Amino acid sequence: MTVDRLGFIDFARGLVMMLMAWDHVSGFWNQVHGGLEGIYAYRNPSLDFPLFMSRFITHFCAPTFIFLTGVSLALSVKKRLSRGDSQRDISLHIIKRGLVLLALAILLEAPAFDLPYLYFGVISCIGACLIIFSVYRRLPVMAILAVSLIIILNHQWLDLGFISMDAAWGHYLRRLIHEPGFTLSPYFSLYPIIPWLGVMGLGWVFGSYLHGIGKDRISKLKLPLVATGAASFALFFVVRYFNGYGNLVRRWSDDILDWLYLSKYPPDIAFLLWTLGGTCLFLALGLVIEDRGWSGRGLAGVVQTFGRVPLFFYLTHLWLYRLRLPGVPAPFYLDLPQTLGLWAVGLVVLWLLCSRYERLKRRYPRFLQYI
Amino acid sequence: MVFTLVGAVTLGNLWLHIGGPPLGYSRYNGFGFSIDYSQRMTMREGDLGGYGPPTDSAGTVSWSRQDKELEQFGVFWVKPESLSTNMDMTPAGALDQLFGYIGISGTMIGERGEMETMTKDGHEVVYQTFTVEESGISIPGMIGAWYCEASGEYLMLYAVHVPDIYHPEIISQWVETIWLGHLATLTCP
Repeated sequence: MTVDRLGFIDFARGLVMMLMAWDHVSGFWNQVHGGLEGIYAYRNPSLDFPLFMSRFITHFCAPTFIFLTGVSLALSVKKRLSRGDSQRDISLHIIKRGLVLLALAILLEAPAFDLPYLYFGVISCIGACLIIFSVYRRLPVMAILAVSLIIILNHQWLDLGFISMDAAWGHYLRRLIHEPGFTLSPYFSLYPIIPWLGVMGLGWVFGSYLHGIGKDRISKLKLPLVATGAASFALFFVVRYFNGYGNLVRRWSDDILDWLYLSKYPPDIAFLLWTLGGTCLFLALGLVIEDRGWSGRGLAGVVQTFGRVPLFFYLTHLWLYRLRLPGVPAPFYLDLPQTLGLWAVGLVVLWLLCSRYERLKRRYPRFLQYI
Repeated sequence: MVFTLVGAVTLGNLWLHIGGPPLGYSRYNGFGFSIDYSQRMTMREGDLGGYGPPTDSAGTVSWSRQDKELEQFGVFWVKPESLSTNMDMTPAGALDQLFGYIGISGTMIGERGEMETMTKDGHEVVYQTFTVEESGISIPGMIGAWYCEASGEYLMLYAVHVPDIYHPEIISQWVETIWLGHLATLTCP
């Protein structure tokens, strides 16, 4: 069964990209923006509730983005197979896409954050995962599900102590595989491959499932998605309550902000329960929008436009919101309402740019296939 | 089948790690006590003055982690016979003598708070806040001491914390919480 482009996936992706834009505009212009959860064992006490939450709500971005990359990859591979493309060609295409992402991370992503070119961020991580997936995808779906769950539930015990950090290559390897950090320049990493490969694998499994069912059955996934999201949130509170297994960052007190201070770098079980639970709800909301016939119209249409050209949005929004050359520090800082205003104005500009780019991509699909 | 496999691997890992240090932590065992520390921290051992190696009679082990945030904690141990005889042979006396050693080693101690007491595994712990003076900034810390009968030594646990080293004027509100967290994992036989 082949399914066309799924609007609810574009909606969920577009929604988190808007949140991601908020995170980055805030990072560029708001001096007291939070971050590095997990690399820091304690939350920054100087962040008050609004500032903390303004960062916390953006946690949905990376997991949803990477999960949906897995979904889209599965749907795209099945589509190519059904039109007769060879496995070799498909693998080569995925590898090229991964390499393009790694190159874009070096050329455009790292300088946007004023980080060294070896910085391993979300784009590099997805690129590396895609290259792995060019081979890994040949495993049965159930095997990928098992490996993904084993990774997510067990990666916290991964001990890379056998790789010496004395040599730069060992240091970088550990940063890339599982131990994000900023201790030795230029070997910086925030998105280590192993845990995120598990998240992308779950996306692959969900995408394979979507491919196997018809559009009618997909529209009936609302309730299961809401139930999964709610169960995920409930389990999150259980994991945080016991404050042991599943928490790479301890809950140091009963303060609500301590409950919500989670390890994103690397993502622990509590973090993934919360964020992927949110992903389920975003997908369900996308299905509701499709059911009501709002898809492609009004605000939902804007969100879906963002979700259809995610890489273009990502690269453009970084430089649009940064508004200065690499290496140039912010000339001044904005407060929270001003940052919100800049975010909203930027979204309008991004919508105009993404709409035009989408038309361009339709006209030159081959030339722009990797972006 | 999938869930059986995933469950078996995860439960197996949980079983292997029962009683062990929490995830991402290692356990230090030696000199009459054990304590958990984050694998992201760097460990140093030495004598009380910081010049030589630790001995069974006295010494210190500390762990630190610094990027934008600075956290350091450590344990001092000292046998009563290594304490100056003109000091009180009490945890409070051991603390006083320790601050003397710290002063000799060049660390500037600012204010010391009131001594308070609490109970830890049946031992009475004397504790107080203090500050370390560094480049015009007062870095808050917390320290506590008690006598461990089983190992026959005074144990002193301290912690200091700077949330943002680029803005050292931001005073950590977490020293006590951090200290209590480490105290919970510190055991003497």
